[in-house]
Amino acid sequence: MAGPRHLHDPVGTTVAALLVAFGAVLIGQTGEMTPLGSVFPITVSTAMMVLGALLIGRNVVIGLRGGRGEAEPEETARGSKVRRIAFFGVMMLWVALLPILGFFTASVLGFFAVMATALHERVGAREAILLVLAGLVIVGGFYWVMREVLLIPLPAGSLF
Amino acid sequence: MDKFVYLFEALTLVNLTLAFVGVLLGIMIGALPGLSATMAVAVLVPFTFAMDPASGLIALGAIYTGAIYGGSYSAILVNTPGTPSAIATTFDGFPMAKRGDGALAITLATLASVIGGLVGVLMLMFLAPPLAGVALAFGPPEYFWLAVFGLTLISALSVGNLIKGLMGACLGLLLSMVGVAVVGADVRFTMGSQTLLGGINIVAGLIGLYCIPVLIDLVATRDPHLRVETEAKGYRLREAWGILWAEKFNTVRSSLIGTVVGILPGAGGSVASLVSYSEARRTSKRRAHYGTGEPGGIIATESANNATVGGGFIPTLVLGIPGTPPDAIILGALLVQGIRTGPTLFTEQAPIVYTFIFGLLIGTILMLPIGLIVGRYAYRSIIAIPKAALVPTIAFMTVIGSFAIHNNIHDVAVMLGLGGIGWLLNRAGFAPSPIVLGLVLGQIAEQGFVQSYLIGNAQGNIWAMFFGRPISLAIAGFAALTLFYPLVAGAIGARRARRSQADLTAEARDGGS
Repeated sequence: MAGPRHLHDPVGTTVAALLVAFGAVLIGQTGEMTPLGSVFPITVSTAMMVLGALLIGRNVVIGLRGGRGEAEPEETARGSKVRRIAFFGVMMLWVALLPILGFFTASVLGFFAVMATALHERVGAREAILLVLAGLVIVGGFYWVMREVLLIPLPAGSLF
Repeated sequence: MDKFVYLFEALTLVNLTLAFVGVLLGIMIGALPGLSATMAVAVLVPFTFAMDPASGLIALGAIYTGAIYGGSYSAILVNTPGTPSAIATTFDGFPMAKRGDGALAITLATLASVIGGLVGVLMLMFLAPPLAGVALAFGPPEYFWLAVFGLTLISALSVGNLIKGLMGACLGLLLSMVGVAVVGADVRFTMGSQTLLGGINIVAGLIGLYCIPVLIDLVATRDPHLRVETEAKGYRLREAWGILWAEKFNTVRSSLIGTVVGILPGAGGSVASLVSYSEARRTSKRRAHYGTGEPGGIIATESANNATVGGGFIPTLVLGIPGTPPDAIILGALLVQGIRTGPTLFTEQAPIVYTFIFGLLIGTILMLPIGLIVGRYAYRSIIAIPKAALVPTIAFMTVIGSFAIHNNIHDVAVMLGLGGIGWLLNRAGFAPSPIVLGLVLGQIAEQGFVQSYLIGNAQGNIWAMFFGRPISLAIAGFAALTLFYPLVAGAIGARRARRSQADLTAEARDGGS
């Protein structure tokens, strides 16, 4: 027996609609290109739009028939949303601070900020000291290898 | 058999030490996402100038082969290919590690890498001049079809929703078009940014799309990163040999595919491993398990990508055309040493060439004990390190690895941006692998397509360019077979089931009457 009518896989359908719009924007940009440069983008964008339309149509039909919603992957459905957002925010800040503070300073700050988002239980003083030492050794060690051995010019920023 | 005289020249203490240190360094560099085999070889080339030519080449070959193998560690343990060659290793390696079979996955990757590497080197030793012709037989249409063949893997990777997989591949292809076009030099989709003129780097894309979503989900729960195996302990070498024996055809086929693809300039280990994975899955009886932690998948990719090392040296030494990017650097080192590559190299400078090939052979064999020990240590470390230290360490690796590609922060920003988009798309059911496949194969496919179109147009027969060449047709045939085989096999199976059902019904009716 068919269930209540609702849009099947609403997140997937929304992304499909966004990708269809994205494909249209990209095709619009090919007007300034030579035929050689535009043939592949037009073909691939068109394919993406057709596939997106197919997916939307399929989801609408399944929804009208009262099909069940598509389950979200297990890993992305479980756990704390706040920690996820905090992690990504810290990473963005880390990258933004690299040229301002310098690679080493920004990486030390970023490392411990990410560590804080990944901590789920209270840690004792001994464990905390070990974690801090491990962080400094890892960041310092790689910084030294990259800078002195591999001679990679790391951004110095206002500190180092 | 006179070649074997050079075996003893390769077996000096200096050469053995160089091979050992080279493999170890290569494994460590290859295991870190962002630090590629090309970089490992490039950084260490100057040190070889002070050595005699054969020893220098042995060191470079050992670093190269170690780095290609080392890419499998991070692919298996943290779902991020250390090098693009290990993309397909993540498909089955990480699921195996997650369910507690990480030690087995690493042992399998080690054994497969050693066997693949040996096949590639033996082909280099005995069949280099005739095989070098393969590089010249491949024109733009063959490259185009090869990329299409790699893309057919999407049908295997999009279990449950082929449309989403194909859309992801289209998105990956579009990402590969950002920057200056490979043919025609149009500036495309850069949004006016000069930093995007060089395009989206494949390695930055790989790190972002594979690693950042894993980290985002890792911080959200208390669960350990990998499940710790409770019963089986140690290297699980006997079990791995048993699996490898059962997959012997897969191993040999993948090694041969790796060697041949390695010969093709510009194709490289990523294409070789994707094509061999695709073939392994198509021909396997357990094809439904591929992508969920099937050992055959690891064997296919790891034997193929290490076979490209020997394969890549074939056009490098015989024709002076580097088969892979690290080969181009080694070619430069050869020229500095005063060695002129070409068809006469194997006769006029046989001592150096064969000592080098034997050195490569020794380096590949040394990879077995070194790889098993380092792999075991890496696996135990990943399990033992608490999540609060593991997550920031991997996050730091993603930053430093993507920065090291071109020494600029824009690659790090691209990596992070793609990681965030990848996580959101994954949440909507769009898996990262088809996007990565599109990104990796996009330029090869476009260059092959546009060049074939231009040549065909000039000759007045575009269709013949794409469908009139025997190698093209063969690759296109395999691509079609990979794409439609599951459907055809399913239809045949259903027909047989219906027929046997009809027979049973008829027999029952006859018996009853």
